[in-house]
Amino acid sequence: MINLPLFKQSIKSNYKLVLIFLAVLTLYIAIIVSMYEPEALKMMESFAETMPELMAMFGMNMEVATLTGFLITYLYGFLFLIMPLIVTIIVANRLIAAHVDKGSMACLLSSPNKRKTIILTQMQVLNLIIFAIIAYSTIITIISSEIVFPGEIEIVKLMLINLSLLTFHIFLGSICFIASTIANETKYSLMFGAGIPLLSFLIQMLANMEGKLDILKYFTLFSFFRPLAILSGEKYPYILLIIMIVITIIIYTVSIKIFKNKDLSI
Amino acid sequence: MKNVIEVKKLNKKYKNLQAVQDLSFEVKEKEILGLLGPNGSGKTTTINCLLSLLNFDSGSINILGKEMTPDAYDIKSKIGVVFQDVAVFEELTVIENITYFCGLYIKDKKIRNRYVEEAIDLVGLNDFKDFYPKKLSGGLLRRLNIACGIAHKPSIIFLDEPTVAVDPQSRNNILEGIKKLNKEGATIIYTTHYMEEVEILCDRIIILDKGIIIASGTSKELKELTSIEEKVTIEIDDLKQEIIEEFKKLKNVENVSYDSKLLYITYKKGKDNLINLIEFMKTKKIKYNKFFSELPTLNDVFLELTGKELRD
Ligand SMILES: Nc1ncnc2c1ncn2[C@@H]1O[C@H](COP(=O)(O)OP(=O)(O)OP(=O)(O)O)[C@@H](O)[C@H]1O
Ligand SMILES: [Mg+2]
Repeated sequence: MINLPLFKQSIKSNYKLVLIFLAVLTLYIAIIVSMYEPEALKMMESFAETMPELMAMFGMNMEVATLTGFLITYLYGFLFLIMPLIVTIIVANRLIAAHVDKGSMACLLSSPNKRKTIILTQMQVLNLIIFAIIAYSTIITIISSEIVFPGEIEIVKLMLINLSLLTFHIFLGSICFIASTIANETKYSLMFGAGIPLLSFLIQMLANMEGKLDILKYFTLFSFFRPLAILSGEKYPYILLIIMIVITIIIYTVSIKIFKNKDLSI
Repeated sequence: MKNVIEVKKLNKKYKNLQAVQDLSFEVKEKEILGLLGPNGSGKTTTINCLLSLLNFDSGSINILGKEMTPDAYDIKSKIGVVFQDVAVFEELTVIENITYFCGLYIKDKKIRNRYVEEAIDLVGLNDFKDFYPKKLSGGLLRRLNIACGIAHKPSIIFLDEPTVAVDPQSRNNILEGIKKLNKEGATIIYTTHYMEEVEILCDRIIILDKGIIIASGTSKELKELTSIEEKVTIEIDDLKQEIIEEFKKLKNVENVSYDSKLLYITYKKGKDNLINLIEFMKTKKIKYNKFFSELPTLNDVFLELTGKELRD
């Protein structure tokens, strides 16, 4: 169920943004991978010694002996969380709320196209974009690792971690999407669609600092993504993964319901 | 003639504001119906209810003989809407925008491309096909908005104030275009707060105020509702108060005022008003420069019915 003109328009109005983020990601991934060398590591370690809190806030408090561990610490602690999230926030807002805000949604809904098809189209655009970003990042990570340090990367583990990352971002995307669906104005869509994940990230950063704030980790969405636990072969991240999928499905189902009954006054 | 739209006792409330109250009217096939009303009179609300974009509190809406509902797709496919707010995409060119909106109705690419060209022709945007909306003037942007709404050749077209903030040239182009669409067989519902437009364009007019229909009919029928026969303006250089008083005593005179050399006389219904007036000025030897008489306008109708001006 997809509305082709809408799908094309949505892709057209978002691909430039996505390309920019992909370019930035490529650069960062290449730099981080090439930093996996004794010299740079030593520098990082001395950083960690002088400012443990700061490093911890960004999730950089781990053993970084292997390349995979190193990448998890330096890519999956901040960059792979925040960069796709920013794209998701912007795109999700554009897909529904901006249309309503601008009045083009009224045109769409007065045409003979099912509301369900319209919202499903936009949902697919968002998830396609998230998938593209994560898939691209995965490929670039693997390629640049293989070029610089052939055979060092644990590909299967990395794939599992990225699968979890993808699920996690689709889960965050569903929150941005429902905010965009509920809001009649861009400002409210962004207030919740960006507010909830970013606040969550802030809490995550505080929770990562050693000490009493550890309890905060139960109040952040980012606890659902546990790359280090996957690396060390634990099972609970997969349970979290299933929980995320279930919540995502619920959120999207509710979004469709809301959209179908939405009053569109312009 | 057949009714293509029938609205019965439509009521719509926003929280505690009654935006539309007991609205009943019908639109006949191939007519141009004008919805005339000041800002906030409920024109857009009515259209949004008719399109099933808004849930309403009570009443019924039938279009093309069927009840209008959010999923009445067969009805929707025959409707075209030009919304009050321009809703085109900044990242698409003129032709891409029209193609997108037309594509929501017409799946066949060949037919669609032809329709898009015809719409561009109709609104006169041939020289701007590959322009982005940002580069268009306000008037051209409105024309693009119209082209987007009507490209799929709907048989019923809603236009919500399509000429607001438009230069005279674009306005004429738009009004001509609408007449042409109507000649080709489309039924048109046109909202505006410009009375001149409904007079030129519309076969029938509904006057709305505060969500209530206060009058309806042809422009001629509406004007018969006023008690005014005509309004006369005379330029007289110097006029004494006692003479002004005498003007007031003339037959059928409703109101007289004199301001910066201009004498305004409003006449009630009656005959031979102007002949009597000229006769009177001759006998009194009053010299005048300009003299002209106007028939009542829809604004006078509105003024009489509501006690306020249509436009402020
Ligand atoms: N979404 C809304 N929520 C609350 N009140 C609204 C809403 N939309 C319109 N109104 C109010 O309902 C009344 C009718 O508004 P409507 O937009 O239908 O008028 P209009 O005749 O189209 O006016 P205009 O000429 O300014 O476009 C106005 O008083 C307006 O303030
Ligand atoms: Mg309006």
